[in-house]
Amino acid sequence: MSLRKQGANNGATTAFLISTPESGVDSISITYALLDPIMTVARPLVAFVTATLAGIAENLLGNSDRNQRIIPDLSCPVDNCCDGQNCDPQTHRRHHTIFEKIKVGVIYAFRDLWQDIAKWFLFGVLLAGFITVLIPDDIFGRYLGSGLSAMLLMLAIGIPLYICATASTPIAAALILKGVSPGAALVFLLVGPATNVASLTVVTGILGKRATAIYLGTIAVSAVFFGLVVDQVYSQMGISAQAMVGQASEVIPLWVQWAAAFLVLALSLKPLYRLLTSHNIRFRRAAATRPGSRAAAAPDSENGLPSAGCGPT
Amino acid sequence: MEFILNVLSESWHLLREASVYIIFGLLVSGLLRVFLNPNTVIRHLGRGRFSSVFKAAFLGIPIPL
Repeated sequence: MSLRKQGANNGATTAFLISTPESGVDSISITYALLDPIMTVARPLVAFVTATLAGIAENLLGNSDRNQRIIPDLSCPVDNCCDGQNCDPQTHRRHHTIFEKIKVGVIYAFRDLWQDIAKWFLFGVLLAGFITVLIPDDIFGRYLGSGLSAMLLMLAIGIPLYICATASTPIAAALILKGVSPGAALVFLLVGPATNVASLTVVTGILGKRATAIYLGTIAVSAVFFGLVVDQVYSQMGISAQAMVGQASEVIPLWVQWAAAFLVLALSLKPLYRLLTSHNIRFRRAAATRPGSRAAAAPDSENGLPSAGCGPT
Repeated sequence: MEFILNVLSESWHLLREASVYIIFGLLVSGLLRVFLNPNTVIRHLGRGRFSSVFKAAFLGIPIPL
């Protein structure tokens, strides 16, 4: 939530809080891999429109209060060598060579970023596997596959669900394969990451109840509206989303796919190991405090951005 | 047992399809974080009722969570 603290107005903060979890370079890239080019464009585009609408609604309807002075966080992203407050931007930019920056960026990507996403993504992949095997092929085609009712069903699933943009993509791919319309899948992809009970609590804390209502209302209405639009686009163009799913990877040689999959798994070992050990510790701590049951009831305080199911546990 | 193997096989298939793109997406995200100057970003955000919202929404699109 550094944006609000830095003095952005409520509307800008709302917009940022919606567009950040709903899309990112990583989830856009995975959407291209597992879904199709239309969804790859639709997802960030609709996220942008939703975020803008919610932000403007907030600024027009909400109570505009204190807008503090803007203090950007300029501290050096490479090694925190300086906080950037006392040197001019030109010098600040030249503290490190381009190679140092690239190195740090790559390390950040594979260590920090993937560490946050890995377990959720693997969970999403497993859940998608279950859906593929467990659910009969024609069930969504016959019931609740498309139209407004399907969108509302996806809203009902997506709003409380705690899942991030990257992890929701394989699940959406499995749903589309089972006959869910691309529009309904888009509703799931938009609402799943942007809303859940935890993130709504955080938003209420930062922006207040009224802003949270605007936030939730805009996300729901715009997701359903654009879901219906996307279904229209597919039917106008005569494209079957079911047939398009996952075609992007066909151009990639099989051995590259295998190598990449093993690399991703190798990168996931550490976060998974951490997940296991941290749960173990928590479990033991809970067991130790059960008689008193006071310490166990105090969870770590949430103070960051709503993590949309991709944050560190 | 066969059920579990089927699930794992489907999951592996999805993972294989996604992996190259995951690596690409992570790399771009990492570089974005190092090269995107927060100074410029915040300055552009400004305070306008509409323009600030527009820019904040746009800024949030590539940022992963």
